[in-house]
Amino acid sequence: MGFLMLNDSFKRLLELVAVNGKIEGRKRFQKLVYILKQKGFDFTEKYTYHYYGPYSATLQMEIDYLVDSGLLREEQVGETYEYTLSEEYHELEGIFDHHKDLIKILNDKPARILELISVFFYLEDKGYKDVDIIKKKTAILKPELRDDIERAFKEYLKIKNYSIN
Amino acid sequence: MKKVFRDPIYNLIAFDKEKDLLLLRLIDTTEFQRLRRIRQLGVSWITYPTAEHTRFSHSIGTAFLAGKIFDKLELNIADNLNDEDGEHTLSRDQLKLLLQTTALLHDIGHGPFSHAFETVMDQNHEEWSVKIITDKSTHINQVILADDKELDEVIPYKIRKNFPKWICDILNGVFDLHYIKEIISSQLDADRMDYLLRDAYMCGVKYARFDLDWIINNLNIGEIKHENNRKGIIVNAEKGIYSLESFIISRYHMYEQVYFHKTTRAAEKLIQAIFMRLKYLVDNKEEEKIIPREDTILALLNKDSISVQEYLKLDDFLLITYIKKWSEESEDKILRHLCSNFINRNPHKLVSESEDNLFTGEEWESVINFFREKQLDYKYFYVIDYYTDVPYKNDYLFGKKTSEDAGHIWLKDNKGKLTELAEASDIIKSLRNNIKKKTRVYCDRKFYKELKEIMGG
Repeated sequence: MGFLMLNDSFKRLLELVAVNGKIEGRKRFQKLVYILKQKGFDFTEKYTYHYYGPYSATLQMEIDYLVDSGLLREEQVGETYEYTLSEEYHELEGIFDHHKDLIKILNDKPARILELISVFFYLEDKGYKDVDIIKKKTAILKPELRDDIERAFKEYLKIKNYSIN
Repeated sequence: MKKVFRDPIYNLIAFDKEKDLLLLRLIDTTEFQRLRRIRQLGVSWITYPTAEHTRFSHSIGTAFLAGKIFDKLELNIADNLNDEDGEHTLSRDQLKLLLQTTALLHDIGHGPFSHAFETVMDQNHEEWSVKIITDKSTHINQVILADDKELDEVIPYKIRKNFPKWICDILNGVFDLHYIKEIISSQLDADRMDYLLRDAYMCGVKYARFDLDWIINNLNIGEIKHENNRKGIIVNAEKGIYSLESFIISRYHMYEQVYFHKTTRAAEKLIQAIFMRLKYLVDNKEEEKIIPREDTILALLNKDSISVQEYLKLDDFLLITYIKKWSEESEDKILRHLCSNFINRNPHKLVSESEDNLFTGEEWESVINFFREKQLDYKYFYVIDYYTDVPYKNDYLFGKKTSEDAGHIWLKDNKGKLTELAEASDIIKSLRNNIKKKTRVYCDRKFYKELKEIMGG
């Protein structure tokens, strides 16, 4: 294969899967990209707030495109879709190699904690400053995850203060 | 007393001069009037000669429909809103006004050529909407927060002062009452219903024909068991299913025939090429070749932050004026060429189209070599259009039905059971599972023949 005609957004996603080895779940994929974007990584996918928190329809379509193209492998395990890189892609540049630690910290967390962390990032981005109000608002938006809010907020602060330089 | 707007979709749109005073005042603001200079469908007029309608008429239509939907909901207003200054309980009329104000302003941050401009300039119209509503310099913000007895009678200041924040919460999707957000933005919302009908009418296509009044008549609010019993919009299953099918099919047809039309997409790619060239000139210290200069655009290309007032200067009229001037006066040959292609309706030409397929290999290599020999950067003249780039994403039909993120339209039968539309309807199910996703390659017409030969077409 000669040149591969892929834009940078697609390449970044393939790199992200590569550095993780595997991404378990579409929700996890969404939240990982969102949190990294909030940390200043140059993902360009536009996010809006959906039922499960920040969500990018563009990202979802890009993932589907990569699957349709045979570059990403998608496997359904129970109710979850798992993503791994296929053998078809040979152009890894290792753009996230310097940030393996942060990405591993994120990917090791349960999906519901990632979901809450991304909600905190979202609310902060939308102008919410007061910690108590952020938690209260999150409890309204995510009643089913109410019990995890305190724990997730501590994790969120760690991620927020994690230096990526 | 009513203020009545004539409208080709709903015939008459009436606002009450007392109850809807805030809406009428907002329509008269500088920022809302600017929407008259932003076309609803970006550059679709290149394809459809009459697609000249603007965000102005769509915004008024959306506010009208949002009100109609709200009137159908059997609300039990005990839902409190939490805020920094305590809890608020809004009356039914106050909540309706908040909803309609949000509907009216939902597109206020759109820039020129909407999507094409946003992508390449890295701008986000939702973020600009929030800034325009909350920035004290705007007429909109001043109208909402005005010290005004007439307005106080409709909506007292102590409630009204929270409007900017609540409107932004609704637009950002984090308002406490989820169903309010759903009326403006969901798989079945006032925004979509208005733009499908209006865009079809204004393009002169006979696709989007769905029974709007019947859908609205069969809407209500209900608890969604599958989503933690939150309150959301539901549709009467027995009565609503057929008109919902035609609504989804309308979206499908409009997507294929209008939003993803090959010529429209080509024109958007040409606009993007123009901005990529401008960016190149700015990045390479050749910006003096951009004649005449336009400071706000140059600032955006430079990634400088600009004020709300500067952003508001941008509209379709201004950009088209500059593109016309650049096509004649610019000292950069490529910029002149691209701008003149736009002014003379000479969009890129479709080279190939494929379904679920990636363009790879030798073909691509020879294309790059072709432009390299001419000492041209291919990116202005040879572009891919991924379906992932389309502004009006068909995320309901493109979604995976088994996935956690699939879009939902909930139907409720007379026994109270909830079913998702794609489960209840074989037509929608089959459409969802068989939809074709296209990716296209375009090139500048000037090189079309030669490139086709290289590619053996």
